[in-house]
This record gives sequence, structure tokens and C-alpha cells, in this order.
Amino acid sequence: MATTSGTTGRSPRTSWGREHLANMYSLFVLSMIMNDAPDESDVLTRALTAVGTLGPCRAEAAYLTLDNGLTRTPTDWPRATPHLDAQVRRLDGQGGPVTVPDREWGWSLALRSTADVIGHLVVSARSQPTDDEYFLLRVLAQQTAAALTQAMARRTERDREQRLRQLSDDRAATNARLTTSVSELEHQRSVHEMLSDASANDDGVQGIAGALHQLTGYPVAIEDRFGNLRAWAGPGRPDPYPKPEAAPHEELLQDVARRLRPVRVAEQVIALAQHRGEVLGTVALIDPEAGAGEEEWFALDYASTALALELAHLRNLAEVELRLRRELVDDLITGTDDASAYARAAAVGHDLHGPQYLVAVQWTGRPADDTFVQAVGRSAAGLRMRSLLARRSGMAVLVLQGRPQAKALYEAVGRELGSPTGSIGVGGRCDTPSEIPRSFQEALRALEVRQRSQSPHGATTFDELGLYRILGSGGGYREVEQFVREWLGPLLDYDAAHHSDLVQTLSQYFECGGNYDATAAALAIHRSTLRYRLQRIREVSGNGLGDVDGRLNLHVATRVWKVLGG
Amino acid sequence: MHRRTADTPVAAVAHLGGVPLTPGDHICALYRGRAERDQLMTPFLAEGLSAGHICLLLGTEGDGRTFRDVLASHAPAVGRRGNSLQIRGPNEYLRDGTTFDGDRTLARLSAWSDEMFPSDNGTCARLAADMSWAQPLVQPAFVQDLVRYEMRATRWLRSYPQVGMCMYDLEMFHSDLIVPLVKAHPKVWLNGMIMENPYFLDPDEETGPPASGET
Repeated sequence: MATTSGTTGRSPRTSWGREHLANMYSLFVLSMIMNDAPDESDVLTRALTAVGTLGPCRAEAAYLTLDNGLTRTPTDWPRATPHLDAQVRRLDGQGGPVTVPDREWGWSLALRSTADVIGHLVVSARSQPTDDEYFLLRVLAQQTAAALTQAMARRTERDREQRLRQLSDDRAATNARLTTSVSELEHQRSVHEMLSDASANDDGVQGIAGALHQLTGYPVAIEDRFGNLRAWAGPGRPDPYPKPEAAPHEELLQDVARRLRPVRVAEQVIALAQHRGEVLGTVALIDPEAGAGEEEWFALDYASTALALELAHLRNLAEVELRLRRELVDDLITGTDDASAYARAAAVGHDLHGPQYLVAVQWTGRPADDTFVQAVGRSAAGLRMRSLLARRSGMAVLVLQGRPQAKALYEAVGRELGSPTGSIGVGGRCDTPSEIPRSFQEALRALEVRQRSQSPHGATTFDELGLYRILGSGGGYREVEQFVREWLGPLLDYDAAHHSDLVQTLSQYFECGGNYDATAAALAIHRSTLRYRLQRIREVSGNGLGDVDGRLNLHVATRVWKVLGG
Repeated sequence: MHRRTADTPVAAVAHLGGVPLTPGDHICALYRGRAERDQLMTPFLAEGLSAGHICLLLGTEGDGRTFRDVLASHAPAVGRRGNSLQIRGPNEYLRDGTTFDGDRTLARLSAWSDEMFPSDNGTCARLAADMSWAQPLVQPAFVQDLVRYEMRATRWLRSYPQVGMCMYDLEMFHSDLIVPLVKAHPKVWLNGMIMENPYFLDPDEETGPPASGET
């Protein structure tokens, strides 16, 4: 058959001959169409629809032989019936006769691919077809089988290509995931390296802030657990840095602690630096545009871990230093050689050279725990007092460099603790470490005297004790009080009963060396008033002020009375 | 009339897929899908327009304007000589818009040819007929009418210096139409080549309609 144009000589044929050849040619074209069909169903549909055009036969059904048996194809061919399906199955893969209602002749044509039967084409006719008509049906079946074979091969090829494509897609997806993972790991490595370097290079908290800023490009703020700024990196640092209210800030920390990841709060993304469940501080990215992505959050998360380690390390150092200071203070109090004391004090940053004063601090209702000792230390530092601080038997003890401001220290501690009910005793000056035990005993003495006085809250220095310094402690107090009572008892009772100031007047009179004018001026009273009061004193006490011994005892008694808070 | 005789050497006046066509050729072009249709039809008509042939596009009234634009990009002559391309819709075939009337269609086409070829002026014509409109009408009786029409169309095409291409979409038509149509066309375009059909039922030797069995 030619595939180019040209004239064709035609010889006269009979009508049958022409029709037969035309059918054969049409089958040839149909075969080409079927060979190009997209799938097996299209091949069989074309075969079914061709049956009626090739002679008097009718297409009843078509089947594909698949792994699980015969499958009607196309499934919606109108004349296929379960009865027909069963007959074709009974033929067991061979061609053969079938019965079709109202049709004299029915036949299942086996569609063969080499030795295998790959399908069936079932046809029928009102009467037995002629040999020529049956011949056309067999050619149609052969061409259909060939086209089916091709369609199956193409399907197999398509499936294979699809699997290959799927594999290729899977591989591409895996590669993409790997690339992403590598990129993420690379970023995580750089985060790890930069923050580790910041810690290793002793850059401390500021180093962590700088590294995080460099990694993310966002300004970074690191605060302690109270909201005080410890480090800032990047532009836009607020000045002054705002300190949050304590209660809302504590709530915020607890809220963030409940989450396992950093939390966005207003314009910041905040992560906690926690060590063994305790919040040591916070680190935050300043991100008002909410542009920070996964990588920035990861860096922040990692920075919070580095910060926790750094803060825990710093606290351990502080605790070690505090312990060293306590041990040093203990040794100083109990007595140690000067050379060792100077060296150890210098090691913890305190200069023991020059005058030192020992200070003992106790507060009513407050145990001498770390919080209390730290409050005392902050108060002293706030007054620019340089000291060694320790805790000892229910009190805070300071070794102060230089003369202490005892009253100011009392007020500062009172403010820090929120209560004025405390006592401070200050020992005498010591110029060498070996004098410290003595100064400590003096501080204790001053503290004790203050606490036993009528106004036990406040500060007392050993120097203020005056005569009282030479009196013993313990049972000596009773004797002292008896002495005061013995000499000043009537005057004290009189003052209490009449709201007068006879004891104060007598005390001032002695302090002024018996000078009337000076005494009256000090008491801001008239000279005649003073004379009257002295007369009353003589009457009430029964003691004349002219007697030397009586005068001495009264003077001592008023001094003691004053020390005791008179 | 410009009847051709078998003894007259005839030069090619058109090409389809590189294969030369001579006046009177009647081709059954079997394609799959609209894209393939356009790839087949566009160069065929564009070449004709460029050669100054009269081109008649039948059966694509709805998208005729779009197709004219496509053609314009292939053959600038469309813009300059707009009446060289004539587009007529499915109503050319249908009476009352629903019933196929082969005799009426052929009469109209013959009248069109008489009008296009008033004298032997050397002009050629090309006809491309997209037969997609026929898909909803496929019934045994319609197939018989259509095949008879196609056979007589062969005779009409041979009567003038013109070539005709009837285009059937294999995604729309099944073998119940394709097989009889193949028998009615002297040439078939399929899968990129033209095949001579030495066994087509020549209308000049017609003794009756081709067999179209029960469906």
C-alpha cells in the first residue's frame, strides 16, 4: 500500500469484491488507530464499535484477561451481561460458541498475544455469518489483540516511567530535604560556634548578647531575673532602660517558663535562662516587625542555654567568693596572723591595711540567712562602705574599712528589709588584723547594750558606751541596774509620776561640770528653773550634791542611765 | 466545469504534511484533539492563503474569529485579502439546525464552487471541514447519510480545481463512524502520513451505499 499520493488504476470489480477490499482497507486503518490508542479500554471500544460496520454481526462484550481473571472492558458496554461473562469464563481462555438471547449465532473470539490469551471479543448475529464475514471478524480480532499487546506494553512502560519519575521525584525531594537539613545544620553549627566562642573567650553576658545580635541581626537585650538590663547589643538601646513592675514581671517569667520555647511578648521574643529549674535571667530579640524566623528563634533558644550556663557559672563564682569571705571573716574574728590575713583579704578584693571596724547586725524576726546577709551587704555597698561580709551565729558581721556610718547603715538596712526593728553594734577601731577579735567583741558588746536598752532598735558604737565599756556582761547588768536604781530610783519614779525631767536635768548638770549657766542653756530653761529643779532633786533623792562620793555616784548613775537609753 | 481526466498530468497545488495534493483530492484526516487539529489545519489554509487560493473553513463557526487570528499570524495575506478565507458554521450541513441534509449541503457547495470558479481563471480552492459538529448525531441512519454525502463530495471535489480535507477527531468518533468513512475517502491522513485508499468506494463506480451493519 502506497503512503504517497499518486493516481491509482482501477479495474472493474464486482460490488462484493469492492466492498470486501474496502472493509479490509478500513480494518488496516482501524488497526493503525487502535495501535495508537491510549489504553486497552479504547482499543476494545474501537473493536466493539467496528464489528457492526464490517458485516451483519453485533458486538456483545469484550474482556481483558488480567491477573485476577476476566474483566469486562469497557465496563459499561450496554449488551454485556453476567450470563455472558460466565459463558466466556467457562471457555477457559479459548474461543468458542456462546448463546445470546434472540440470536441464532454467538461466538467468543479469543484475543491472542503469542501463546497467551489476553482478552475476548464476543459477537453475535441473527444467523450464521458467511466465511468471508467470519474472516473479517477474525482479522479484527487479530488486529485488536496486536493493538492490545501494544497498549499493555505502553502501559507497562508508562508505569515504569511513572515509577522512575516517582523515584526521581522522591530523590529530588530527599535531596531538597537533605539540602535544607544541611543548611539548618550549618546554621546551627555557626550558632553553636559563635555562642561557644563568646563563652570561652570570657566575654561573658555581653559576649553572648553580641554573638546573638551578629547571628540574627536583631537588637538583643539580656536582663537579670528582676528585669534589670545586664547587656545590650545592637542599635536602639533605651536610655534609661525601663524597669518592669515586679509583680507583672514575675507573672511574665512564670508564663514563659511554662512554655518550652521562646515566647513573643509585644515587640520582643523572649527566652529564659534557667538553671536547674531556677530562672536566672532573660534574653530577648527586639523584633517589632515580627520578622524573626525559625533560624532566629533557634539562635535565641541556644543563646538562652549559653546564658543560663554563664549566669550559673557567675553565681557559683560568687558563692565561692562569698564562702571564702565568710571563712576569712571567721578566721579574722577568731584570730589569725597578719601576713596571712592581708594576703587572703587581698585575694577576695578587700584591703585590710588601715583602720577597720567590726560591725554586728541583727534584726528582729529575721533569721540570719543568705537573704538577710545580702541585704546588709547591699546596704553597706550603697553607702560606699568597703567591707568583708559574713554570717555568724544569728547575725551578719562586717569587717568595714574606715569609720562606719552606723546610723546611716541602720537606716539603709531598715529600708532594704522594710522594717526598722533591728540593732547594729559597732566595735572599736583596729589597725591590724590581730586586733579584729577585740573589735568584734566590742561590736557584740555594743549590740548587746543597744538591745538591752530602752530603745533597742538602732545603732550603737562601742565608743559611745563610755563607762559602760568597762562593765561586764551577763550578771553585771543587774548590778548596774541596781546601782542606777539605788541612786536614781526616787528621781526616776518622780519623773514617771509627774512627767518631769529631773534625771535629765541632773545628767546635764553633771555633764556641764556643775555650771549653772551652761546647764540652763543646754536644757533651754531659765536659770531660776534650773535652781528650782536642783532643789527638787535634792529633796526627792535625799542626796546633797555637795557630797563628793554622792556626787560621783550620781554622775556615774546618770551616765549609765544615758547609755541605757535614758 | 473543470473536470479532470485520468490522462491529464496534474501538478500539485497543495501539501499536507509535506505530501503533495492535486486538484480533486479528498482526504479523510483522522486526528486526536483540538491542538492536533490546529496543527493540521493552520499550515494547510495558511499555505493556501499565501498562494492566493480561495479557502473555505467549514464547521468551526464558534471559534472562527479566533482561528482567523491564528491564521493571520501564519499568513499575512489574510489581513490584506480578507475575503480569501471564508468560514461557515455547522448550519451549512444542517437543516433547521438539527437535521443533516447531505443533498442540500452538496448543492450549496456546488453553487459555491460555481461562484468561485466562474471561468477557467487558474484559481484553486482549499476546503477544510471540521466535522466535530456531527458527533452528537451519530446513529446508524445518520452514518449512512454521512457516508453517502462523503462519497458524493469526492465527485464534487473532482469537478473543480480544489482539494478538500474532512477532519474527524478520534477522541470524539468511534469505529462505527470511522470505518465507513475510511471506505468513502480516496486518501486518509493518519499519524502524520497520507495513505492512498485504492479500495475506496468510488462514487463514479457506485452501485449502492457501503455496508453499515447493525450497531
